[in-house]
Amino acid sequence: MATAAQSEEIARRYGLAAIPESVLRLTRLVAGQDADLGLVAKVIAQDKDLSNRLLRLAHPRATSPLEASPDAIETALMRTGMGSIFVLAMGDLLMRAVLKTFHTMLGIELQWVVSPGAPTCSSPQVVSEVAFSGRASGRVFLHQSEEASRTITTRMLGLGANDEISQGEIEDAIAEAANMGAGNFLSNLCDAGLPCKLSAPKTARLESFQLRPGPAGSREQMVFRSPELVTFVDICVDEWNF
Amino acid sequence: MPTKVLSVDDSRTMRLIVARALQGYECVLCEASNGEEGLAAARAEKPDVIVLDITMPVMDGVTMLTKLKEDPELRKIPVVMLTAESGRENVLYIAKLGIRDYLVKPFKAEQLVEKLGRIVTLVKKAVAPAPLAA
Repeated sequence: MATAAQSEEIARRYGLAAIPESVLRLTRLVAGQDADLGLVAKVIAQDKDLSNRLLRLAHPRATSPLEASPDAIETALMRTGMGSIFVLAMGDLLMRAVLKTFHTMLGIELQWVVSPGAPTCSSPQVVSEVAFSGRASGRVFLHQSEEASRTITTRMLGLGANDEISQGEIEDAIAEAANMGAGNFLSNLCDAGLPCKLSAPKTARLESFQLRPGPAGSREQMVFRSPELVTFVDICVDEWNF
Repeated sequence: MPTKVLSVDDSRTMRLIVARALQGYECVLCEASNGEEGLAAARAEKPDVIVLDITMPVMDGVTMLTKLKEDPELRKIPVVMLTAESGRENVLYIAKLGIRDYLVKPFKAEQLVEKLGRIVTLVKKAVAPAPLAA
């Protein structure tokens, strides 16, 4: 296992990015198997985005904004179970990885669209799936309309809007975008003490795609929008081993 | 003589991105889509530098790097890892195998050029002069 000094030296030498402190604390609480509900609630309450996302996980059908009071956060944690912390922490790392991938590789500035009122995905879609396994097992999906997938591909390959692209090129580009996002996310999880392994991305064009419902707090859909496109990232945790 | 770069990545998209990053330089680019092909290409082409992904089918980048470093004829070829994996433990392990640099995806083309330019000579292609007006 790398010492803190070795980790710092490696990060400095190769310019590796740091994980946000609140997410790191949260992930370590879960990884350390000594998570105390009150302590977790305190960490979440210090981060506005985490608080809002937890409340959305606990109340997926809410149509108006939810109040992020400490009591509401504790109640939400009791409702969703401690496993939802895993989804929250993972979702945060995944969100950052997606924003960075689109910014760096495509020059697209995505904004996270907070539900309610988020757009839904039109069909057919290009869907890329990456499975992860370790302390938690589940899947991450990157999906968007065919038109948005074409935009991602042309941007990634530096092509013009009218250049011809094959379905294979689109699927390869979307798979690579998913691979970058998921790879970053996995690395951050490992650094936070939750080692996981990733599968190679599987990408396909589907007439329709919807995440199967599961227990409260085990799934989250994130919607991102830019002037050019809307894209969707779903995270679904099927099993956790604490 | 142009610099010879071997790009090893299972994603055609990524190999195209690397090719685009280097298109303005006097480079010969060879490509391979997994570690096994990468080793064969390294033996056949003797590149000046290898840009290597980690997660690939058939043979991954870490295995290829290990085999490269065991081969007396290939061990001196500098390797730049280009991968989405940036977990400190993994990077430390790979660094100990012997790499010249490590670039995390997503990345900007200029970052790749800058890192490669520290290892090999990258000469910009001469811009063809504009035709004279009649």
